[in-house]
Amino acid sequence: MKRNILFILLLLSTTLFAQDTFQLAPPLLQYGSIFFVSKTEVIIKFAQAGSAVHYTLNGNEPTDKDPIYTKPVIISKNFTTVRAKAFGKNFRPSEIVGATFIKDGIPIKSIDQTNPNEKYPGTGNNTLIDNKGGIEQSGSDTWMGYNCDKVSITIDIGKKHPVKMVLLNLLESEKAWIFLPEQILVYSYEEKSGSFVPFGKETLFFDETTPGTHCDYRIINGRREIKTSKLLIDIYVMKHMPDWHPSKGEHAWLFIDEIKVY
Amino acid sequence: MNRRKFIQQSSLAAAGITVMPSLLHAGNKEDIIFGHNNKRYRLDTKWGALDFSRYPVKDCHEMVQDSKGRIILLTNETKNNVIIYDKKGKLLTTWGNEYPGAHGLTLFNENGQEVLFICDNNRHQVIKTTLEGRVLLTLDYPKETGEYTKAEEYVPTETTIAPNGDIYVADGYGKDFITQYNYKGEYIRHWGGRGAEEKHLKNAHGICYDHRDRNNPILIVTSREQNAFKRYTLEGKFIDTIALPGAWVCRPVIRGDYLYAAVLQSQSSLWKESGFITILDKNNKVVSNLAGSEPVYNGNTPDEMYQTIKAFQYPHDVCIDDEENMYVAQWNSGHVYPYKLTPVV
Repeated sequence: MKRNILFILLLLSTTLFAQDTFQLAPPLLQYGSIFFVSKTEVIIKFAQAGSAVHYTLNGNEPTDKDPIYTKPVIISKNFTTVRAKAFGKNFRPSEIVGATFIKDGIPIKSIDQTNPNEKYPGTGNNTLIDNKGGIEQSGSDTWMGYNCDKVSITIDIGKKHPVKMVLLNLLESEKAWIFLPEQILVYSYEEKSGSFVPFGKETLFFDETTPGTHCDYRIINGRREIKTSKLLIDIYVMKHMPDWHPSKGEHAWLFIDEIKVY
Repeated sequence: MNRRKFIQQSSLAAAGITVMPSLLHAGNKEDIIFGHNNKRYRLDTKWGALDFSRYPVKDCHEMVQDSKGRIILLTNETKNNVIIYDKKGKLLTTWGNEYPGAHGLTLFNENGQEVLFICDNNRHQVIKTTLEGRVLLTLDYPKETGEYTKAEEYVPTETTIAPNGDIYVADGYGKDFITQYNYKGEYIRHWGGRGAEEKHLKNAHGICYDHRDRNNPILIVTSREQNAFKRYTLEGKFIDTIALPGAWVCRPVIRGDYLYAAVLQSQSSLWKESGFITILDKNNKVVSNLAGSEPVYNGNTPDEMYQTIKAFQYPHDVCIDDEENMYVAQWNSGHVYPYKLTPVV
């Protein structure tokens, strides 16, 4: 009985607080790029008196029991996700901000790709292998933007190398007509036949809307580990935006800023 | 649960509420102090609330105060484009049905008669009216500049009026030119526009006549997408840039030695209702951010600024009254009426 009463009191107090307090805004994550070679540094900023930023590196939602941010976080492990949330006595906690950091893979000797739209040329031919990107703004020059039907990318890794998977980092911003592709097909070069043979593929579906603007990396696993010196990636851009989009039927855009081979 | 137990529980819960006010008080909305240094405020989010069925608003774009102390709000709701309040938030009167793109609102005392200048985005015009809404002058798109071939290219967002009556119009949603007219509405010159040089503008959303240096009045123009204000002479010669990293500043509003501006959103959190208010001192250094990060300087430019408290969504303009209170009008923020902030002394 007593426990019930306490519970009701607690519920009442939390709902009253919820209606009567402001929420903190999310902290600012600062980093040059989500891509790194051996290690990288993340700075978290939140200059608001009476608040503290708690963060996690294991992908879990930060609570006020997690470490308080005091100094730059050093990251060296591939796919480390930093998540941060601001807490303050007189406020409701902020939404979570986060980013996943991606380590360099097999060195890519050279790359060749379909020419991007002239408005979004990136920073030139090596845009997709420069370890720069993960910026959640379509205006950032780290992105190459396409509104053609198909983007083909050829990657040369020099001598034959065991390859397990290929990673593409993409932007999703439906309001700006930027969608993930409908399909990604990866081929590996087979010396014996002198041609590209299927390595792996991913097909995406767009039944529901995804609000906001964010990065999304897609990993295409090989059906088996192979040894190859070259890869070909065909990306099929969405030709008709889905029925739920305000501009349904129009051709979507594809934004890509990096490719990794592991 | 039987009835007796239920009564017992509810009475205890009620007792709990009466005990709690001191606890509640600590986190109460009205009790939070916003801002930094000597520019700190309490916020009243209910100040301008009206019966939406009778006095609706869409975007609340700009506000000014007249010499009677009344607070005049401009909205693009054509049922009542202009809503006039007293300082306590009481509705005094409304007028205006013909400004579907009502955006910019400037008040000017013309030899004792106060007049308003309304920029209408949809009509591609600037309209000068009396405080009661009688139209005195209409400025169409400035053909004389040679920069425009049709009205649609011109989307004026703001005006400022110099003491001699010269009218400066910022084409903040069009081609970003500043066009200067004399008091009769005759073209004098234009400048700004888009381009790669520092004197150019990107989203010239606001403009104001800055007379804080009495001997050297100048113009301050917003370059919102560049997160900056730019200073020009009254003849349009570029002086310098006041960089405000992270802040999508709207129009500059001068009162006393300070410059106040609504920040529509934070660059670090675009289109996510990340606005705040910024205040600059007479040296154009940020001294306070209301619901924003504490200003930090390492050199002449502040560190990137951003929203820290979700008190505002998309603040679009501030008005400072004769008692230093602040009023905040918001764009695209769920038809919200203006807020009032009172200084903490």
